[in-house]
Amino acid sequence: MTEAPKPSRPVFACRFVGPDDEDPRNSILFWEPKTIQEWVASLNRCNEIVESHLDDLERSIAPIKRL
Amino acid sequence: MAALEWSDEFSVGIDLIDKQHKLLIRAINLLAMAVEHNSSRDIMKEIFRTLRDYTDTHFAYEELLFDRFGYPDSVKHKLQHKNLLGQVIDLEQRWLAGDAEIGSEVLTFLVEWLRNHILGSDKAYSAFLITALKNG
Ligand SMILES: [Fe+2]
Ligand SMILES: [Fe+2]
Repeated sequence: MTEAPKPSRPVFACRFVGPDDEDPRNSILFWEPKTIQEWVASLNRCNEIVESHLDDLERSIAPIKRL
Repeated sequence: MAALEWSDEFSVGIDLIDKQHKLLIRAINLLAMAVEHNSSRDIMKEIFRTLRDYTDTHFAYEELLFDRFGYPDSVKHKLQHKNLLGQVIDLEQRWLAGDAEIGSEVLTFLVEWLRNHILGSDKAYSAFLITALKNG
C-alpha cells in the first residue's frame, strides 16, 4: 500500500521548522495564529525550539569537558 | 565575555516578547563566544543563519500583534523591521563573500542594532500592546 503524499503546508513564522516536520507538537507552527491563545502557543513552541538550537550551538562552540 | 547583557530597561512588559529579545541577545552573544573560541566557519555560519532567521521570526510575531490590535505606528515599525533584517542579511552576505570579518566592529554593530530597536521602537508599543492584550 502506498502512502498518500503529505500536503505541503506553509510554516507561519517559525523559521526553525521545515515543511516536512512530523513532530505533532509543531503542528501549531504551520498556520497563522488566529487568536491570542494561538499566538501564545505558537510563540512558546517556537521559542522552545530556538532555545534548544542555541543550546546545541553553545555546546558546539565550547564542548563540556568530561573527566 | 557577553557582548550584551539583558537588563530590565529592555523589558517591553510582555513576557513572551521579552523572551524573544533575550534569545536574540543570546544569539549575538554566541557569535561573540564563537569569535573568542576561534570556532570553525561552519559554526559561525550556523550562528549567523540562526540570528537572521530568528530575527525574521521575531518580527513576524511582533507584526501579528500590530495587525490584530491596529497598532497606529505599525507601518513605520514594519519598515524598520524590513531595514533591520536587510542589514543582517547584508552583513551575513559580506561575511560569506569574505568581504567582512566578524570582529569587535561587527559585534558592536549588532549590539547597537538590537539595543536601539528595542529601546526605541519596541518600547514605544509597550503601553499600547499591554492595554490591548489586557482587554483581549
Ligand atoms: Fe522586537
Ligand atoms: Fe520591533
